[in-house]
Order: sequence, then C-alpha cells, then structure tokens
Amino acid sequence: MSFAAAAVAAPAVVAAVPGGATEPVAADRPRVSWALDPRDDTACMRGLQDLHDLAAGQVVCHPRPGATWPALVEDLLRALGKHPQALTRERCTRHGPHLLRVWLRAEQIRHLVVLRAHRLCPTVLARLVELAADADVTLWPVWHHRDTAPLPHPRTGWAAVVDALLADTAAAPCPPTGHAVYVAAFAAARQEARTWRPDGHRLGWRLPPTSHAWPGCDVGALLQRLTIDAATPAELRIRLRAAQDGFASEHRQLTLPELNPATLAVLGPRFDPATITQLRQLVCPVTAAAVVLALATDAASRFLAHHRHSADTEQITLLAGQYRIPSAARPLLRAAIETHDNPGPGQLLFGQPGDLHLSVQRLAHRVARGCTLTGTRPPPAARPLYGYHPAAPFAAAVAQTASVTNL
Amino acid sequence: MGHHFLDIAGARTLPTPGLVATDQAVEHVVAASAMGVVHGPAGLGKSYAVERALARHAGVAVSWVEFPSRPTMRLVAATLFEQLTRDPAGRRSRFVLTDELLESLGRGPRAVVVDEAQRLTKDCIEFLRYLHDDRRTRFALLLVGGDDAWSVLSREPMLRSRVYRRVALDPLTAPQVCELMGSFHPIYDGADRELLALIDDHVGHGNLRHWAAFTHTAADLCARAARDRIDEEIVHNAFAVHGGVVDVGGGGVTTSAPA
Repeated sequence: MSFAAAAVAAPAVVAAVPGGATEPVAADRPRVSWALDPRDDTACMRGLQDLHDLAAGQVVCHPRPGATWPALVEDLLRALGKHPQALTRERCTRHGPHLLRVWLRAEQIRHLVVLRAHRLCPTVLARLVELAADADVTLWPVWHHRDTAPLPHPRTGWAAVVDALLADTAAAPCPPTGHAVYVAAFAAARQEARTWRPDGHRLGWRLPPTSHAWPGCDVGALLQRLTIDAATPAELRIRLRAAQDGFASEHRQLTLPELNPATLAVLGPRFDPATITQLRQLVCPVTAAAVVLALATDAASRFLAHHRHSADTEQITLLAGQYRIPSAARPLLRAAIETHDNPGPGQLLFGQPGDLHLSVQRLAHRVARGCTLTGTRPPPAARPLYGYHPAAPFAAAVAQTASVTNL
Repeated sequence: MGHHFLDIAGARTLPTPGLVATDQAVEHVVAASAMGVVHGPAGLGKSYAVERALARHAGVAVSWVEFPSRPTMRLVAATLFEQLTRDPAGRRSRFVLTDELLESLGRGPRAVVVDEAQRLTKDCIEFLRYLHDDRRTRFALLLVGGDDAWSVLSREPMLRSRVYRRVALDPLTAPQVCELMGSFHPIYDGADRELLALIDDHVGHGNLRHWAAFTHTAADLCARAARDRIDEEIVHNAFAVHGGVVDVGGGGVTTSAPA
C-alpha cells in the first residue's frame, strides 16, 4: 500500500496548524495525520506519553533510535504490553508484523501515536501506514522537527492532538464504585436464582455421568460467573455478599463455606490488574488465550480444548456449564480467535474433535509454558494428561461445599 | 572529590563565578532529574566543578563516561552499560543493551555525566535523549564539553528544548584574578596584586589550568629557593620555564622544568 492509498475514513478531531490555531477538518479526513512538534519540545513528549491507555484504545509508542522495521514492530508490541523479548522467547520472531496486527485488533486500539516518527526511514513509515490501515487504527506519527513533515498526510499541531485524544479518553466509562458493583452483582444473582430448580440444580441441568463431571460443577460455574469480574479481594467480598442477597430475594439460599482469607484466595480475584499485565506479556495469542481460559475456569485441558465461545468472547461453554470471561481478559481471547480465522504461528487452540488428543496435549503444554513465562500459578489445565479424570468444578474447594437450596 | 590539575599540594578550591554557577546548576539538575550542560574553553575547571558538585549528593550514584570522536550508538550503549552495571557488554546488540540500560537507569537516583560532549553525533544525542525521555527512567544527565560543545548540542532542537540548566564558563577577568588567586595556594598569600596581574598577563590568561601549571612550577622554585612565597624573581624564573629561557638579571635561582 502506498502513502496515498492509506487515506480512508475520518477521525472526529480538530486539526491545527503548527502555530496552534485550529482549522475545521474535512469529513473525509484520512486515518493518518502528522502531529507536528517543530520545537522538539519535551512537553510534547510528556503530554503524548501520558495519553497511553490500552483500556481506552490509545497506544503511544516511543521507538528506539535507529529503529528498523523489525525493531519498530518490537517497540509497538511492547507498547501493547508485551514482554521486551516476547517474540524471541515464544519463538514468534518471523510472525512479528502479523501478531502486531492481531493484537492491535484484539485490544481494539483506535489511536496509535508513534513518537520520533521524523527519524523513521520512508520504507518503515510506509509499512507503518499500511499496518495502521490493516488494523483499522488512526495513526498519529509525530514529527519532532522544524522541517516540514512529508505529504500527503495532513498535519496537526501536537497540542490539538493531545486535546483530541484526551477528549476521546474522557468518554471512556469510569471504573464502577463499590455500590455500583453490589447493585450489578445483586441483579445478576437474582437472574441466576430464577434459573435454579428446587432440587438445587440449574434449569436444564442433567446429572452428567460421574466419569465426565464431578458433583458441584454447576455450582462452581455459578460461582465463577458471579465472582470472576472481581478485580480486588474487597470487590470479591462485595460480589459474594450481593450474590447471597440476590438469591435470598428470590427465596433461594446460596450457602457458602466460611469466607476466610484462604477460601477467598481459592475464588480469586483471578484477573486483578497485575495478573492482566502479566498475561499481556504473552505475544502468542493461542498461549495467552489458553492461560486465560485455564485461569478463568479451572477446567482440565481435555475440556478446554473443545469449548465453545460466544461471538463477543463474553462467555464460553464447557461440559460443566457456562463460564464468564471478564472484560479485561477478553482481548486475549479475541486475539486467539483472530489467529484462528487467519492462522498464524502455533497450534490452533480451538481444534476440531478429530485432532482432540494432540490438541489437548499441546494445550496443556501451552498453559504450563504460558504460566511459566508470565509467572502465574499454574491452573489444573497446565498438568499433563495421565489417565482419565472427570471434570473438576471451578474453585473446587469452595464449590463442593457450596449449595443452592429453597428458603 | 575532584582533583586539581597536576595534583598540586596545598592548592585550594576557589569560589570562582563558574564554580558557584555549576554548583547551583548541578544541584537543580539532580533534584529535577533533568538535563544540564556545562561548557566552556579547556582548563576552566568544568569537570572539576561538576565532580565537586556531585560529590555533595551522597545518595546519588554517579556514572562518568567519555567517548572517542564520533562514537556510534552501540558504543554509547555499551560504554554506559559497562559503567552502570560493571559487566562487560560483550556481544549484546544495541537494542538489547538499550533494554538493559532502561532497566538500570530506572533503579534509583543517578546522575550520568558525559564528558567531552562535543564529540557526540546527532544519533548519539538522540540515543541519550531516548534514555532520558523514557517513562521508566529517572536520572540527571549532565553534558560537559569544551568550547564548541554548545554549538554542537544547540544544533539539536531535541536538546535545546530539554536543557534545564546551562552554565557557560568564561576565563577569569583581571579583577577576578587579582581578587581570587591570592587564596589559590600558600605561595600567593599576601602577594602583590600587580604581581598576580603580571602572571595572568604572561601565563594565566584567566585559565585555571594555566594557573595550576604555573603554580606547580612556582611552588617547586620556591621550595628549591627555600622561600615561602612568590616574588618577582620566582615569577620571572617560572616564566622562563613556561615561556622559554628569560634572563632575570643575575638571580641566584636555577630552574629546571618540573617533572
């Protein structure tokens, strides 16, 4: 793709001339705009670096000086939270640009700011523009020099870019308060309670053969759905209290073991911000998704290997029931699905039943490897397969003593 | 603490305007983990002033680096890496070294001093800027250089806009010499101002390195002649050593070049 061909849809921002005055932007504004910093001001660097916010879909990359295309790909992957040596240690070096495209899409990045772009050679710049178009990202290369930035892309003063991106971030939802968490968890628990039969099982639940699932799997899945979104131990307590209150309001009793620190540690929080940061370090989408699913469900690799996931990656269905994927971990699953649609490196996570055995072994290996690389505690799915075991419930130590009864 | 040029026994540190300004600038630059430039002609005590100012910050790890003319980015990265970690850079690539430098430079209060900064190329300046601008690092960067250092550094807008404190050292003026040099060394105690002005006119030229060289010679001559202080005869004999043989009119002092 040429520079000119990179012109596509329009971001809703205002443009500014280098002097700082703004001018109206045409509706068919291209997706690549130079951000101008003719004085090479440190305030520009700081201002733009502070805009880096993956959750808000904004990535700011500060490339290493003299970056070649592979080095720039590495820098962009780092800006997406990947480990500095991620490509090498996961043996994906050849697939760097493809993986970058996958992760940009999976993380739903909308704005990509590349600092010091005036030092990139034209070939690298052209590839960057092409990548941005492929990944559906608005690219803001920053020209820190008094010379005029090359055409054909429009030019915008850096202060206007900061304002536009700040306005974009301000529109993002704020993290919920404790009360909001309680209200949402209470409502979810009420809905869940309505789907439980008087015999203490979920509607539609059939007792699976003992060779497939241990008792408590349905309660385990229930607890998973109600607690997996917790990001902190305090939020986990709020969610459990809201769940019990929600069930009580529907004349059901959700009985849980005593909630001491050991019990709570079994339940979570599974995806606190630190864990998400660690998981993001994985560059291979299949490995990342395998670890996410293993941590989110406690399921063995045999069951994970042929799960079904919803289109928005919000839920997955296993033998033992439906499991929820927290929003912070969904990009990791989306990346694997992107890879599945357009095969990249490694064995596909979502294998067909025909290659079940190989996929299962590889999946167990991937989970174990992913946990080692990220420093997370290996879940049951990381264990190699020896013998034949029924599915264990989520947070087995809690789920096997928890129950739902009529009041 | 820094050493005087030629390590002259008994030499004292003079509160020259340059030294005071450097002291203050270094304090500000270290406090803000910012960038600073100290430049001026050779022999004005730039490195000594910076070294002395940094010695007052006991909690700050200081790394001094100096590069040959027109170094590569890899050489800058390797030299900094070796200074910071005390490990050999080996065959690590520039990019690997950069990663390790970012980690090292984010660890704690640190000052990196680049001596003879006028030798840096545009790429090397960009590399240092990259290390300094990175969000993970926090260190003071002091660029110390000769006469043309500022013309080299100010050519790069990336540095010009980032320099928090700049100190330009100039040679001491004649009144400053007369006021300050009397307390430089015991041999000048109570020396006549005209004699000091004479030394400055012939040898010193307001340059501390020249003064140090002269003082070394004069102190040696005083010791040989068993005199406590300089006088006109010692001064003229010292001139002879520094500027060629000068007939001082039957003086009993024999001179030889200092070892």
